[in-house]
Amino acid sequence: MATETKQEYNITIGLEVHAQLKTKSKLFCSCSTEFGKEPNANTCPVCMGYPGVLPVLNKQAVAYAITAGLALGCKIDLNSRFDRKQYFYPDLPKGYQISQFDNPICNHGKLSIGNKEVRILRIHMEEDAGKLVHAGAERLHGSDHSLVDLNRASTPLIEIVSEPDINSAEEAVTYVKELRKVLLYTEVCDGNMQEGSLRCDVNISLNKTGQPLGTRAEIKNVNSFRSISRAIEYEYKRQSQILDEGGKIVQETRLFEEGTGKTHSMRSKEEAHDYRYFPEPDLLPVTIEQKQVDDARQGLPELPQQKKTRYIEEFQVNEDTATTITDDLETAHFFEKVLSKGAKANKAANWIIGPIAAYLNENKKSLNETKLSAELLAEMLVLIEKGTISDNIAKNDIINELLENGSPVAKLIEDKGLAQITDTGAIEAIVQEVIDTNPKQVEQFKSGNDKIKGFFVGQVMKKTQGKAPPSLVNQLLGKLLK
Amino acid sequence: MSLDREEVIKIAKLANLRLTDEEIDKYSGDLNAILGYVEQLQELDTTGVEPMIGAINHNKELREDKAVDSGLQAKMLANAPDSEGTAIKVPQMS
Ligand SMILES: [Zn+2]
Repeated sequence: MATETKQEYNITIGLEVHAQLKTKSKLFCSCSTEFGKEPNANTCPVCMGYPGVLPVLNKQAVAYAITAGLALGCKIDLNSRFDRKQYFYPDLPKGYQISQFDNPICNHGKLSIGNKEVRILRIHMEEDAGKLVHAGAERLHGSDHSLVDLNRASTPLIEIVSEPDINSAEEAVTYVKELRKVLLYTEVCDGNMQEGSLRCDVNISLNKTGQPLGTRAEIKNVNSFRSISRAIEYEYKRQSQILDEGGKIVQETRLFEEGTGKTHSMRSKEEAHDYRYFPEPDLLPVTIEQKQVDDARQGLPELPQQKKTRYIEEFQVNEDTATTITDDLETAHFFEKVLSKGAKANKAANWIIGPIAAYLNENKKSLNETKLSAELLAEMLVLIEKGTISDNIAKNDIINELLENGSPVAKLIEDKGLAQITDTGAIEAIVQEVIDTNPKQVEQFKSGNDKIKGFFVGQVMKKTQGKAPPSLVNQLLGKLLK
Repeated sequence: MSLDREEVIKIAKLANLRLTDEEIDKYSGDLNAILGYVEQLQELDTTGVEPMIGAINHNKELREDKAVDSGLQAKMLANAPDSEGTAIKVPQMS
């Protein structure tokens, strides 16, 4: 919430998150779910809504829904059902969407967002609608038509409905981030918000402490973390202004506009929400064996929050570091692999969230787009640990080479002469030389200026091109300056 | 149970139908006749009977997740009232 806003009202938020399941084919037909094909390339009479066709439920979609439900602590209903939700829009060829209304596959879960637990009311399966392109948008002159692409029609979604347990824009964003992580970890959804694999509707109401909950508005089309927070901030301002003036909030659906950051009314709820649900007669009830649920539970991977806790307990990395690494599954896998190759946890973690993350940010790359393998990083870290190379040399001369070219570490060190000098005698000679050629500084040191020691370290490092082990140099200086 | 005129108008609106006054009268009568007929069924005591959702009792198997190209894109586009490229063309939506 923007700081200039007076927090006179409590804000109550519930989220409906639509996640596209990672199936190869659609929910009720065998058409591909591949993104980015030419319009209507992935269509057939079933998803085009031809009369007389029969939908047949995708087995994998059910499996994914069960996995997501279990990962979010839900009870799985062994007998759920599909219903028809009826409304007219050209992106919905059948005139109804097949969804689950009063008997969803998952109920009563929860998701922790750090400071609190958000209850999940339900998760149901449903088919997506197609896509409408408003031809006018791309043309200078007003257009009199829209274009319909049904590639996305009937791709499988789960809708995850939270209880209204969220009380700020920040919490809402955290909730969606945590939810997205769980879906990515369990590999049921690719989490790609730009391609619309994860979309959000936000229900918001305001009230004053001690008063009953206010009337809510449902904000649609909120499809990025930034939009979630902007839409909520805008709605807070809009609703609080109406309430301040003694007005009433209308229960309605509003559309969020990315460009202006505003929401505007789509239609009043009364009318639009008469979806006349009834059980889908073309599909059987969804019956699941308890064994499938048990097996799915057994097969659940380590979830983000479990992983984070384990990193803190097992590897003694701090919470921020554990959070950063587990935020991204690829990074977490990489980290674990580096450890399995003999690197120390804290060192590996600091390198990954430090110099490596900086490089990735700067070059807008992900780890797997670089040449750095877990083996290479582990090898470098082990050499630092052994004292063969220094941390600074690794940062300045090695890590970028590994990221960009995947060069073998040992060869790199040899070719560039990067190894630390391990011959104590040789370093001692250099330290003595530095002391002998700088009598003035020696005088200052002896009269109590301890800081001048840094000058000597610097001189030694300069003469050795940074290849003298700092601890050894310090030790020798202590001895020879006496 | 019977439907009044207002309800018939609302249902027509939800079904995207534009009805004349005469049609509203006609369909009010038709719909009420159908509802009256269905009402007779409700006299039966169905306590303890599982609701039957559909008449299908075959094909309990779910479908394996395998993508197959229907190969029908061109044919289906030809059935559309209008198209542009491979997209279906409809009147301008909002
Ligand atoms: Zn299809």
